[in-house]
Amino acid sequence: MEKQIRLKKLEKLAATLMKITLALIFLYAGTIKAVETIEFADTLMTYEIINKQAIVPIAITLPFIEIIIALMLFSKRPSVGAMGMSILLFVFIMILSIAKWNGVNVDCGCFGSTETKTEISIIKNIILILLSAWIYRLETKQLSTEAAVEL
Amino acid sequence: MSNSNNTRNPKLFFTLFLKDAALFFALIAISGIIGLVFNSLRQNGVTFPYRTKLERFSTSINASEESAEHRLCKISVEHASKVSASRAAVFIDVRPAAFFDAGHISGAISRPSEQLNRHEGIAKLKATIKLNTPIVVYCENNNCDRGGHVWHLLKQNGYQQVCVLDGGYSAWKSRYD
Repeated sequence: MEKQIRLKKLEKLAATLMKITLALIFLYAGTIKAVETIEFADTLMTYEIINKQAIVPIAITLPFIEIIIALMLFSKRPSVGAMGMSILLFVFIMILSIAKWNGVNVDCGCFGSTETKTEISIIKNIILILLSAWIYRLETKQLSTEAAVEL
Repeated sequence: MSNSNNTRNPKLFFTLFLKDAALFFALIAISGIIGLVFNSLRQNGVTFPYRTKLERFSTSINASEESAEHRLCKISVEHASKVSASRAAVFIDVRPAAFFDAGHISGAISRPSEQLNRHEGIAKLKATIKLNTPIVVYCENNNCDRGGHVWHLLKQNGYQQVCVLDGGYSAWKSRYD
């Protein structure tokens, strides 16, 4: 029993640390994109997947989605933040994979100072999606317990 | 019912999932509004529709240059194909050498922009290609700075007939490879 309580405490601590890490990553990524919107739009265009008409709406909306879901991790409903992160990361992985599959040269100098190999970006996003899915599972477990108690 | 049984209640999980999803989509709408307001308030906001780096470079060059011969010349993939077939121009690939090795326009020569930036690089080019030779410069796509940069460099060094391939190697590859 005592061991179980200790494990629960450890799980909660790990979840809080992961939430802080994910929130910081998304806050940083969102802020950079919000400040450098034109460069971000150029990056989106380089992948040659997104329609040219959709580039600007995505480039101005996505940074704020990232910032808001990062903040949502510490709101009354953290599961929304974790779910949003999982969905966004899934979309990012798909875009990167399609670009790689199509043989788009993303490290040709078109990215300026933020050049990163596509494979490395995919691996990073897979790690982050696993973390956000774990947090989502923990948060919904807690929410459903609270909801059931209320019922 | 115990708490552990409640957490495994699929109906409850599904209801929570739907609520989260609805909230997430509401957040997307809110983010769109914030983004729109933020972009319209800032001085260097992005304009709609999207314009590539080459298009933006072309606008800035053409606005500052009054004479037509100093304005950025863009050549379409179709036109460039005819020029390439008749050997009427020299094609210069300005991407890094590794990209040239992976695939390039037939007959093109590799001159990465870093190489041309050096004084000896441009001197070497002048020794092999005459100033009145028509030249087509190409990079990976229209979001690569190198094409416009090399076009400007060649113009400054006296080359009279220099054009940039519109869409770059990517457009060429999707059309002809």
